[in-house]
Amino acid sequence: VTAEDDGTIANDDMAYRRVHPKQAPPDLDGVPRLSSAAFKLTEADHGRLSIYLRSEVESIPATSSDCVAQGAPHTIAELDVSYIRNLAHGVLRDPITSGAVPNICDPAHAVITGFATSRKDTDRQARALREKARWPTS
Amino acid sequence: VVDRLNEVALLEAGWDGDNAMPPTQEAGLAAIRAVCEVMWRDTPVPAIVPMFDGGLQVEWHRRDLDIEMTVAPDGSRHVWISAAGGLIEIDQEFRDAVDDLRNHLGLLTQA
Repeated sequence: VTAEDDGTIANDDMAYRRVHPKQAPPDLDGVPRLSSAAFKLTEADHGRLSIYLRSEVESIPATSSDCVAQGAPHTIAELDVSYIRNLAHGVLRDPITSGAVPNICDPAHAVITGFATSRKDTDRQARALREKARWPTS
Repeated sequence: VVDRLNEVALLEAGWDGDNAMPPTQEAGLAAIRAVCEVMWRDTPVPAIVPMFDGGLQVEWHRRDLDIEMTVAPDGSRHVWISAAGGLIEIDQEFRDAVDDLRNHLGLLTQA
């Protein structure tokens, strides 16, 4: 699979991924831990994982915390675009222009591409993305 | 485990603020059957994580031992285990992984 990728998105950019608290439960030592479930696709995603680009969010201007869905108790996890590409994924801008529930970060919406089609492979890809995802430091 | 499953089972369509499906009854029942089959009396209670498609993930994580059982909306189950810092990795259908699952849950309790 050759992932679609937009080379104008810088490698040092950051991807913000919405995470529902139910998908970041505490591990057995009580430390909140992102689940790979937060990086798994459904058929409705058409092989593309929804994210927001930090550079675009900042140009709105907005912050990562502005990108959570209204009324949903999300947090944001962040991932380096360079890491996403190292996993053979691509990143494309995908601004939302007609969202059912408008969000200030809609123009910064983007997607991660290059997902496999078999369940086993997409699970492996989700675990790899989860591995380096972290909570924003600022 | 049942309490945690019941808590997740209360999620409604769109629980993620988008198009996520609520957990299916098939996934919930399959998860309960699986944990009853493999958990020891002193196995820690797993995290029950909803998936966007109506499936569930049953997860145990402690230091360098990660155990995840994915339950699809139709109740089919898959197991992934990573132990010893990734030196041991098991990625199988539940039925083929029952013994490994029991063994590693035993190790988890001793950790």
